[in-house]
Amino acid sequence: MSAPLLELRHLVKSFGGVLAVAGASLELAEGELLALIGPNGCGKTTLFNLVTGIERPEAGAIRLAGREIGGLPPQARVRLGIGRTFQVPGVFAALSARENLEVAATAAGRPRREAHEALERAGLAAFAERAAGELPHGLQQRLELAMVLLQRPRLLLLDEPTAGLELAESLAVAARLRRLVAAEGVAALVVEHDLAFVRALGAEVAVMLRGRIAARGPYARVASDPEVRAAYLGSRG
Amino acid sequence: MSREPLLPALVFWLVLALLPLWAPGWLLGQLAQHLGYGLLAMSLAYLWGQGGLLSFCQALFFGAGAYAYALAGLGRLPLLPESPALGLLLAVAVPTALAALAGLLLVTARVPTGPAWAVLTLVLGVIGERLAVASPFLGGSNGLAGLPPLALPLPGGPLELVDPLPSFLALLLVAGAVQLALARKIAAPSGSLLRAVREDPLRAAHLGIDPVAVRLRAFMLAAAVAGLGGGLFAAQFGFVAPPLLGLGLSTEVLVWVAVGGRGSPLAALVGALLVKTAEGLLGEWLGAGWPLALGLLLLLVVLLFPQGVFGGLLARLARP
Repeated sequence: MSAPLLELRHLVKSFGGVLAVAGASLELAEGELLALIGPNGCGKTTLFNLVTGIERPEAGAIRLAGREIGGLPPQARVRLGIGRTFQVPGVFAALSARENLEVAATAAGRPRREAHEALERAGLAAFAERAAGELPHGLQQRLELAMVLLQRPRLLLLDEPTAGLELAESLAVAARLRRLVAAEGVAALVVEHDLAFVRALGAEVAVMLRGRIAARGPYARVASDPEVRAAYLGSRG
Repeated sequence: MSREPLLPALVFWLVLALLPLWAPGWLLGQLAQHLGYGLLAMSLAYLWGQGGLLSFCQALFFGAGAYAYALAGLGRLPLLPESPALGLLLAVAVPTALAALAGLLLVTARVPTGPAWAVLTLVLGVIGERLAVASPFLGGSNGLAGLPPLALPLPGGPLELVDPLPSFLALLLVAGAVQLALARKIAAPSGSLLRAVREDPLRAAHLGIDPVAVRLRAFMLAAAVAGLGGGLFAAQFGFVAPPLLGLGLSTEVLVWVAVGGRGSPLAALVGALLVKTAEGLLGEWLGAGWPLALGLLLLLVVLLFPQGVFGGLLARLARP
């Protein structure tokens, strides 16, 4: 059997003596969609930061398609196929939407034409010359995703893609994400709080509790896990 | 600014090119020197406005270019011939190499580009000035005098750039070429990468951009332009001294660039020409009051035109 696309083994990371990630292990196959849920402060964003290289793990392994990448800087990991969006959209606020996509295309070694095509595809052509920071939140998120997709990632890490969106918008994001994974064969790991969105995603769910992956499986099964109910779902009613 | 509008630049250079038709020789000579300063101003505008790297040591590279020209022009470099032309080449090469070294320290040490970065550049500039004062090889605090001028190899015999008119025209050509080249660079894909890193280096890295490499290249390019300005300045002035690479000049450039507009090298160049020309005309008349007047001007500009007097204007023209 070939190696999983992403393999995290016993990752540990602490900040000032507080364990943020405490031996988390996770596997993601090529083209797989997985939602990562968990209460605030359970280590989801730190886990993302470890995978993308903002933070270095104190122990454990991070492998992409069997290759250890734990020591590489973020830009090298991007070139190996990891794309990431941020909770606060990672657009360059003072640059125009068009220029944001041009930066992404240039960074990916693609012609500017592709940036302009992406602008059309994302439905942002009307806002091309507006500063990205002035766009409404939802459009900034769409712009960010379009920028990340220009890198043609094999693995997408999405940090709360529906934060600040209305329910209808979040459901549209879920549908778009499902289509993307099905059409392009991209694997995606989605950190999310919004359980309606997670259900709409129709994907497997992994639950992170106190720095570990505590449960994983279909939404219904995970949601009935007593530990998960007590720590997370229960608190949300 | 992501684009330098071409038309104002061409109009500006055309007006300057027509200046010899009526301007007196002394003014042309003065403008030739100020265009050397203008190169320094453009280098800082690129680094600061486009790259977000506020440097208090930009004159270090200007001075290094001037000293490199002086040493080669006087034949003081071991194994190398006495040659002003070689001096001009070194005036670009030495500051670029110096910036690569200093840049490794500043950029790769992951110093945040806020106050810590600015203070470190300031320290570098002070070190450079002290070294020049302490070094007998560089002429100590007296500097080096009697530098040969540059000579253009023309068919009818070499033309030495001594008289105001040929000096002015040569500087005009060089400064114009550099300004247009920087404008192209700013509009090019690599220019937008620099602005992306300025906005957010971490997010740039998440698009696969190496922020350290991008900043280092900008630092080196700015040093090359500043060094070229320094070399040409030394060639006209015939004399170099430690203040050319010191903190005083480094802060003066900041004023020119802030007055002109840091978003655009052209605006910064106009700022340099304007402030230096005003200093030439009013300095003597105002005496000790000149620095006060300059300070007042800077205050007004920062309050009324945060993008600089010409920067805001050009940005409006650049808008599609």
